Amino acid sequence: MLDRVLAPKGKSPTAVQRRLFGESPTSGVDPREAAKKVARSLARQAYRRPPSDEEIETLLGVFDLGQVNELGYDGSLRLMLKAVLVSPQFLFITPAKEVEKGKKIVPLDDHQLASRLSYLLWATMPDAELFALADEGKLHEPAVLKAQVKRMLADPRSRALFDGFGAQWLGVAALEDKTFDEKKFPQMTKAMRAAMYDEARLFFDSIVRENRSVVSFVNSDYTFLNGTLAKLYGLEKEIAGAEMRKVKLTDANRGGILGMPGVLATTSFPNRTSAVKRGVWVLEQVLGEHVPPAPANVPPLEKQDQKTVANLTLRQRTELHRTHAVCANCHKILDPIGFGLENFDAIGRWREKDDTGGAIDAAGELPGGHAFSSPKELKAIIAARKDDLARNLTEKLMAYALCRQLAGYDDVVVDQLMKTIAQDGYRMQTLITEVVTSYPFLNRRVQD
Amino acid sequence: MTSKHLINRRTCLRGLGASLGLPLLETMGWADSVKGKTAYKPPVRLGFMYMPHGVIMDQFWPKSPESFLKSPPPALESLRPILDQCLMMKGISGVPISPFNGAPHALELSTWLTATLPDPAKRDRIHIAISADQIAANYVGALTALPSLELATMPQTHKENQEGLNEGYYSHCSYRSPTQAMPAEINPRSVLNRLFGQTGKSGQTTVTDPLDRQMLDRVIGGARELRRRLPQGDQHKLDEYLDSVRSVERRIAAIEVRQKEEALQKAGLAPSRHRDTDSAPIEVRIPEGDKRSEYMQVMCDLNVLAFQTDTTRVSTYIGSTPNGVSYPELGFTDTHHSTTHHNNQAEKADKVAAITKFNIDQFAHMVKKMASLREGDGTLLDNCIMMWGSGLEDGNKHTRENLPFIIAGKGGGSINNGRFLPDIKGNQGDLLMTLLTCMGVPLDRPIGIASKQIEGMKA
Repeated sequence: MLDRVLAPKGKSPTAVQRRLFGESPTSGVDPREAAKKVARSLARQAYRRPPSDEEIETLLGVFDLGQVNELGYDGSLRLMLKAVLVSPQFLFITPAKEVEKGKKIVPLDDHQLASRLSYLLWATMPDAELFALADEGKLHEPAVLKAQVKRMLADPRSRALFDGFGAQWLGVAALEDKTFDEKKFPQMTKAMRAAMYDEARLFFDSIVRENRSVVSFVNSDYTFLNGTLAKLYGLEKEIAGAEMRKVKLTDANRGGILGMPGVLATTSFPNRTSAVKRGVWVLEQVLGEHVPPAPANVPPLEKQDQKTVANLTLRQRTELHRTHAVCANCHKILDPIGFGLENFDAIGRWREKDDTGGAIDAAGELPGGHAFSSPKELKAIIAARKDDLARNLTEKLMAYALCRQLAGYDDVVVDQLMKTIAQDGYRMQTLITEVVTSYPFLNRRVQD
Repeated sequence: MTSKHLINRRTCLRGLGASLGLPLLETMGWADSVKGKTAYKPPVRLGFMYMPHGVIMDQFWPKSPESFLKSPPPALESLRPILDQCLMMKGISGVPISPFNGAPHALELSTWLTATLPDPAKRDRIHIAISADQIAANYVGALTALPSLELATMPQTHKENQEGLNEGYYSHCSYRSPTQAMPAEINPRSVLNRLFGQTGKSGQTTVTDPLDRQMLDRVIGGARELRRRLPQGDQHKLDEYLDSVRSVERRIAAIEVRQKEEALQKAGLAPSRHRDTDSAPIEVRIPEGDKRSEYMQVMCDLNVLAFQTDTTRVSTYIGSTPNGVSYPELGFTDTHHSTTHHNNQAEKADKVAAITKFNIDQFAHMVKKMASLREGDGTLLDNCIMMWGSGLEDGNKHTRENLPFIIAGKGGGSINNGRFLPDIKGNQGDLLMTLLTCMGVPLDRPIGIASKQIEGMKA
């Protein structure tokens, strides 16, 4: 890789080389002193903080190694650059100083905070402004931090928040590799999968950038389509061309993640819908409830005695397992949600009849007596659970930001955040800012 | 912080490793016997190949020791030409899986080479034991460019958490340490790159940067100071990373040893270990289509080539995993797992038998090829211990009293094969421990539940 960006021996340096190494020292200047300056600047960029004296010594040791072996000044710097790139400090966000003995939890230093924030929202290293604030020791001040979140979300680099977090949350990251029955769904081309992904991305982005309420994830009257994807919506007459654009929706069954083809497709089997998978998805990913795994050795639907089920719709067949007490316990909650979305086929097209030709029965009831008869009504019931929606998203984002699963002791923190988030109308930027200014994000545990 | 970024930066390291490729097939020598002018003895290699869900017993077990060679069971048909170089034993039991009774399939693979149960208190994480292949790699790995080679047919991404067990247990058999599962390569091209560097053709010499090793040494040394600044959990993470840096360093060292040896041989100061009669490295052709048999055969070929060129001496190949794998090539698309719950219905049992035979056929392809390659005074297979097996005996009932497995190869003369031993009393740990002893790996503690060596299998 270095061969691609650095000039071979004897050739004039490339632009990258000049940026990384600066000018070669003129005669009379101690090359080791010059190399020390380069080491400081390289390490500062790659480690995303000022390097310690020991770290500089290590790098200079590598430079010396090159000098002793007659690699010349440039060659020795090249070896040093290699050392920087294989150093753990490049791969991990590391602290600059040792912590005081006896402490269990310490605040992140400003440079660690800059990296944590930058990788969360941009998935790349801090920019000059973040660096400067960290150098001044100001970044951790709540007002500064909040202003930075706002600035960073407005920057195009914040698309990374969807690619890293949003796509995982919605499950659409799996679209690219998911298998679909080619005979049944020839529509699932590469272009279609890409459009589905982009729809989810642009939708997510619009809620973040326009600082909308998290409720709009479930209940919105717009989406983003191109010609390919519009076919699934039955809007191919109105929308043509490869370019994605914002589209106002009139059908209240659509609009929001529950009626979004990308989501509906990832929660289906390759050849048919799965009310169970969709139900689990809504409960776990949208409402943040935990669904226990199925017991071992449950035969899939295909294994049911074909004669007895020949004349049943998918819904009726799925409902068979609710006659079994062990299964019914969970499925009486899971299945109705999935059935509520049965009007959407396995790639998210609207339909009135299922594969057997029987009419779709999208009616159901959620625990607590909320009855519905269409995706539209299901959507409205779920959208009303604002607290659950927001709490789930907060917890998921927090786990992503901290790179760990949340534990019992995090509940107190989340409870606290939820108050502020609710007061501000569950708006997305508030949610993100609250996570970034939360205690677990600003501190780290140094002892178990 | 996203996984994408980790990969990007790790690529730097891998890029460094890949540029270090494997040289010197022509004048290849065995790094561990440079010292004297004694006649060379090729090293012993150890390979494992896995299939989940057990077998149809009456199709797999030989009827008697006497009938083993003359009329072998149907599942072993493809091994018939080299059955005299195979060993079968009945009576090796698996690890009892209580308290994880609801997770037979997570444990059949993860206990296979560890003979150990996951730690119940830390079941949501990887916490098991170093596996037998990695114990061997710790001992012989420094002598070859790669300490060990891990292959698989299926991506290791299955997500299921029966009994609250970490999903990693469903798809990993090889563990570098109790907490670190070894990822396996599933792409033949990547395997080729890993074995021979990015330029790809076997036999091609790639120039290594002689200073890389000393540079890495200094980086690892410098990290000691960083380590002090980190909390315990992060120290583990750092150690894992440094371990991977060290393995790159080791690869360079192994290549340097070979280069030195080559120079000595050229100067007539050391005996050449390569004999004129040794077979040339086999050709590996990566198939275009997606036929399972062709795919598995190329993975097997890569394993043969890696052993033949002494690029590594330890391998695992997870030929299939317990997660809904099907075999359209056999004319049906039922998943392997669902057919194994056959309740003795003939139609389903036949399908299980066909899947088992299919897997053994691929293993047979590998070991027959090894038997056809000359090495030293015998064949490559003579110097290998190749074990095919499953982590259950009867997939229908999840039993593991008599684990099904086949050992091929003489292990450099340490194994007495061509036999079926119908009544061995031992467990999976005993078996693994005996295999390592046959390979010449000294053990300072038993492997998992092991309590003894299985003397009956030794020569």
